[in-house]
Amino acid sequence: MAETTSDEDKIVSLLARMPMLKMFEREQLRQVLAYTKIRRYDLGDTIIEEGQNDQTLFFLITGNVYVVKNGVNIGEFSNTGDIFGEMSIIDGSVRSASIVAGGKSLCMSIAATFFENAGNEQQTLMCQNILFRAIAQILAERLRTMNEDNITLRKEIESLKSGR
Amino acid sequence: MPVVSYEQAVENAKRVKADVARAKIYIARGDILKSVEAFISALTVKVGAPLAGSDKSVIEPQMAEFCEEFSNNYQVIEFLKSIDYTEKPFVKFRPGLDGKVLNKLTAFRLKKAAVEEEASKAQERERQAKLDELLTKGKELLDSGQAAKGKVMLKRAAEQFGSKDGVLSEVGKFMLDAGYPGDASEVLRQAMVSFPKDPASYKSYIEACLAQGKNEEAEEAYLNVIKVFGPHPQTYLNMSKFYLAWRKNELAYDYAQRAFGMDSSLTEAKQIMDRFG
Repeated sequence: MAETTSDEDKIVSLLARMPMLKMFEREQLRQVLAYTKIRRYDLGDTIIEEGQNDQTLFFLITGNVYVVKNGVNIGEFSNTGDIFGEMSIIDGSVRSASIVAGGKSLCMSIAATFFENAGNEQQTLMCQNILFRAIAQILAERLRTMNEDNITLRKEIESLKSGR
Repeated sequence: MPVVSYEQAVENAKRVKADVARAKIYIARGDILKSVEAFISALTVKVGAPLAGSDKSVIEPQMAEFCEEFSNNYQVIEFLKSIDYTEKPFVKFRPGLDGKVLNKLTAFRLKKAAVEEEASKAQERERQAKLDELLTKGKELLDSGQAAKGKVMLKRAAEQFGSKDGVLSEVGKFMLDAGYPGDASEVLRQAMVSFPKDPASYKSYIEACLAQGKNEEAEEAYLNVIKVFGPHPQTYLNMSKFYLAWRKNELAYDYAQRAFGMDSSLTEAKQIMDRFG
């Protein structure tokens, strides 16, 4: 794993594709880069380790990552802008599963401490803005998934009731 | 660290040893996925309840040996190269860092399985495209009167893709529609043997037999339809009409009666019965 700030323009362009960062100008995205870390991973690198209590939020820029527990795949993130590692920031819990790179992957990480104090007031506000948007995005996605599941279950119940 | 009973610890150690042994056997056989799965199973047990004492000192070197063997395996290296992974060794066993090794091998297994699945899908797409091409061109050639070339293409489709559901039946139907019942019945007979539950091939085969005046073969096929799919009023009516055309009036009456007995709305069956009644 290597941390790098090279290819800044390329990375800024990739960040601009993330739904939650679309509102930021390129210059602001450069500022975002200043207080986040861009991390490169390769196949099998552990990004988050189950049981640890580090508090870092990750945004997937390119590549894919697996969510694994006891050697079993329980999920995957593969879209630019996918967020992971938010639970420990929200409730301070230890990592409930590991996140492992599924190949060459680029992630942006923000340590929880930055959300409290990123330097000056403007930077802190920007960090908090990103955090709230990230949480809103996660909640919206989960709500959508739950609604879809709810509809499917209702249909199944109706179908069972009608004996079809 | 979880606390386990002595018996459980002995059982865990046995299981880890057995899984590592299996992993070694599979890698020697060249089955990388099964090998890594067995090793993941061993690691999962070990991570859940770490080994102690003599078991630890025996098993950990075996695990380290496996990781080394795995990282130096030709197939593993080739696969890693294909996904542009160059760091060597891929995995190194470090006591106390079992979780990281487990994660690394789990990612390897998932990636390899995904790549294999994608390759198999691509191969299937390629095969489907080839089949579509043979069927389309074969049909076009038959329809445009270039019978010899068309038949060659369709027969090639039947030979190469005959094990795929519906292909033989489709080839036979194309030949029948183009006016080659002899060639069609040959392919359709094969279709009925390979896919006895596909009603389309029986239907086309009977048509092909009738087009050639082969009533005995058509009769045999009708009887097979009943044997395979069970009695059906429409089948009985069709048989009745078939016997009528063949001038086997008693049988025509008999099957019309069976058809009407099962479905009294079949007026055609009633008409045949009335004709001889």
